Amino acid sequence: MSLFGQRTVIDIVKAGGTRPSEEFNADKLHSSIVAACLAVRTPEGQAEAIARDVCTATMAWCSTKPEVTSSDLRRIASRTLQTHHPDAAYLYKHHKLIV
Amino acid sequence: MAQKQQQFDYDIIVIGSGAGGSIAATLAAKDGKRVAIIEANTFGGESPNWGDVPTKALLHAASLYDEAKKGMRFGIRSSMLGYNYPSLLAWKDLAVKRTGAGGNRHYYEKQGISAYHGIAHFLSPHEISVSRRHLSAAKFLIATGSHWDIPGIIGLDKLKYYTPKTILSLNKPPKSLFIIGGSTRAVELAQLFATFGTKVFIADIHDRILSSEDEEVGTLIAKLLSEQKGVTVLTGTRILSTTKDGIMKRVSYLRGGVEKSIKVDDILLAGERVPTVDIGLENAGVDYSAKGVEASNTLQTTQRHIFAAGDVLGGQSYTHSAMLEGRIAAHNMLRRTPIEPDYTATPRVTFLSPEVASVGLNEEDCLRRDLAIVKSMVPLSIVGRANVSDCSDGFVKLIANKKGQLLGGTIVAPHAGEMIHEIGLAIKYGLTAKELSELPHAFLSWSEAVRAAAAKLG
Amino acid sequence: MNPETLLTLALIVACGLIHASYQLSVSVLTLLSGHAIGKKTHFKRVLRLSGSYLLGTIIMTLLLITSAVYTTLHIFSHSGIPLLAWAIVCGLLIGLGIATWVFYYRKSTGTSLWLPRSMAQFLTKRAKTTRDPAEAFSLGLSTVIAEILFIAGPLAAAALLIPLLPSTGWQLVGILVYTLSASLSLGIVWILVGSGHSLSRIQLWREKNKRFLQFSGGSLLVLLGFYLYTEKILFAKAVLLGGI
Repeated sequence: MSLFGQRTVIDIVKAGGTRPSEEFNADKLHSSIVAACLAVRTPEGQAEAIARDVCTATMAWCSTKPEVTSSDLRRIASRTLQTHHPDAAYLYKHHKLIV
Repeated sequence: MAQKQQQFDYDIIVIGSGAGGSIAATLAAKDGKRVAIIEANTFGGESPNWGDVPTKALLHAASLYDEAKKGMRFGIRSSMLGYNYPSLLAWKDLAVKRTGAGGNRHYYEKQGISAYHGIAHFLSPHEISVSRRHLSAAKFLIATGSHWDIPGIIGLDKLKYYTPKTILSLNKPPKSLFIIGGSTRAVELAQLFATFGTKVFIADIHDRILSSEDEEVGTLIAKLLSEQKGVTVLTGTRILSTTKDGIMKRVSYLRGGVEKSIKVDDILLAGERVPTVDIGLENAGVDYSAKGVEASNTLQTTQRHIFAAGDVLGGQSYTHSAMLEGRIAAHNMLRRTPIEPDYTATPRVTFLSPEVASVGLNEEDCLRRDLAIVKSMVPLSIVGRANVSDCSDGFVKLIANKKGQLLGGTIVAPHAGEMIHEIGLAIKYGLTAKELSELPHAFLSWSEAVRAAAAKLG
Repeated sequence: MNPETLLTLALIVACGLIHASYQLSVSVLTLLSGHAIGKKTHFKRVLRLSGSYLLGTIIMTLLLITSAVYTTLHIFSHSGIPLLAWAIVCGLLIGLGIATWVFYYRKSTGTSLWLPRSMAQFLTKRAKTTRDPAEAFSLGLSTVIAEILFIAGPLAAAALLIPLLPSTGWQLVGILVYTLSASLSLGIVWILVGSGHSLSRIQLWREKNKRFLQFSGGSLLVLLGFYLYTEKILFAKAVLLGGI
């Protein structure tokens, strides 16, 4: 059972097509959003609240699709995060494109 | 060194079984290719299931009922006239069933096309996921169509509302209906429900309904809807909010700087349509925006092996345009020499009473392009048919360049949807108004008005 | 201080600034700080980690320039620096300048560099899992090595210029000047992070100006190459032939 009190059966195809797929873990997404917000010096409480909203919106999008890629998750999460905290969204979206 | 041939499950996968996708899949299967078609909703797509076919079937019935009600002036008694709405819906369902394509996956399987039901999502440029099943193909056709945009009106998320897709499933017409949007479908449904006794309000942000047509069309149709059907037309109106008011709904709007509100039974959202692009196009490397998939003139996307056709391109939203694009896309996928779709003579029809049809450029298009034009407009009342049918609401308008070559035409008349093709043909082959006017037009046909308008220009 | 010494020092500073314009160390520092702050690491510890990283890069830069200078002095102590050595270095500078223009940054968004992806992933992973100042220090050392392909140009040029300084003391000053100017960009970012600036703003600035940095880095290399070629080869030849 996840932090969000529900089991969401969505398969995530990992970046680069690595198999096998893994089940969507909302807690993992939540932690990465919190980390992105904290990295831009957002207060912890605010970071948690933003992460909750982002995860809820992402899970709502995922509920329409049984299988998505990890890039899709990142894209939808950063799109939602953009409306809450543009700086954190930028870092979340680009952290793999820094080096 | 021999190139490694990649093995794919299919030669072509078509995503969407609507007008554009069905034709392309059929043509590809006939060409001997291994084809699969994916459908997220009902096979056949929107047009036969919830769009053109059911709406026009009901509009036909409504038109018959309307004409019969007005039969007194011809000496026809209609005091016992009535309708049974469930029977009307049964008629609608029969019309849908008779298309053969509506909700029928066997239609595809009979042609050797593998049909899958589920939401397609690109995982990579050559692979999609459909209900957790991975399918790969050498080429793809994206024909996912479009869907009704749900505007961000305050309070709308807390209310039950309808779209043109869902409103036809009502088992009786609502007592009152507020239609948000003045599109073709919105106006058709306004007339439909008004005919069956619904008090209809139709609101649009533009200064006229049917804003994509010439000004005269919007003005005339608004007048006819208002006078003959009791429809309240609210142009230049911005919807502010919607709230629950007991068992009814209250819609607040701003018009002419004044805020008002109306209490209605139901709300219908029939404004803009947005292309359905949320299918993992990023994973496929296909560029797109909220306006649609980016494609070249030959319907090829930014990935050479992926094509697109129909509403998803964000252009004209007509079934016949989608069919044309489906045919072109199939050709370009199967043949070496690509071709481009020719939209010159694509007609636009609104099935009202009287019908509205246009083709080519309208007056605003010509103004935008700074074209030097001449135009003529004749009222329907000048032709003999208006007299014998006792119907004179309408006109024919033609636009030509200075050389007399026809650029566009608009008709508001009974059977305008049939009449318009003559003008379309003239535009496609560069005929002049004079040449069109020299063609004999049958006496007492509505098309005499077309000849008259052409003669006025020539 | 005579004008020639001043000019040589200026050229050494230019080499150092070219070295500083290469962004791999800055990228890794941004990642390191970001991950540390994101893990709710105490601010002082974040400073210690990033400071250790900075120290690692400075030490490795110092090591490399000292080794290069020593090698030059050892090889050319008796005969002076031959024209061939200058020619090779000029060619290297111009070639690297063009390479910088063409493919230093990848075409994607962000500040993705030319590095093979496996190496980039390794550095990213190391930056993410670094918890110790010692680890951060070694990360700094390895980052400088990772970029050696591009910093070889300014290093080689400085290695030939520093021995031209009049005395050992001046040569040490030259080494120090090069090291400090090469670490300038890193130092600025460290100060910005330490003073509480948002990492995303820093990264956004880097992304917006990456093409300018790429162009200026490449152009400086090309200009330096041409200058050294003119000064050290053509002028020297003219002196030899024409007795100017």
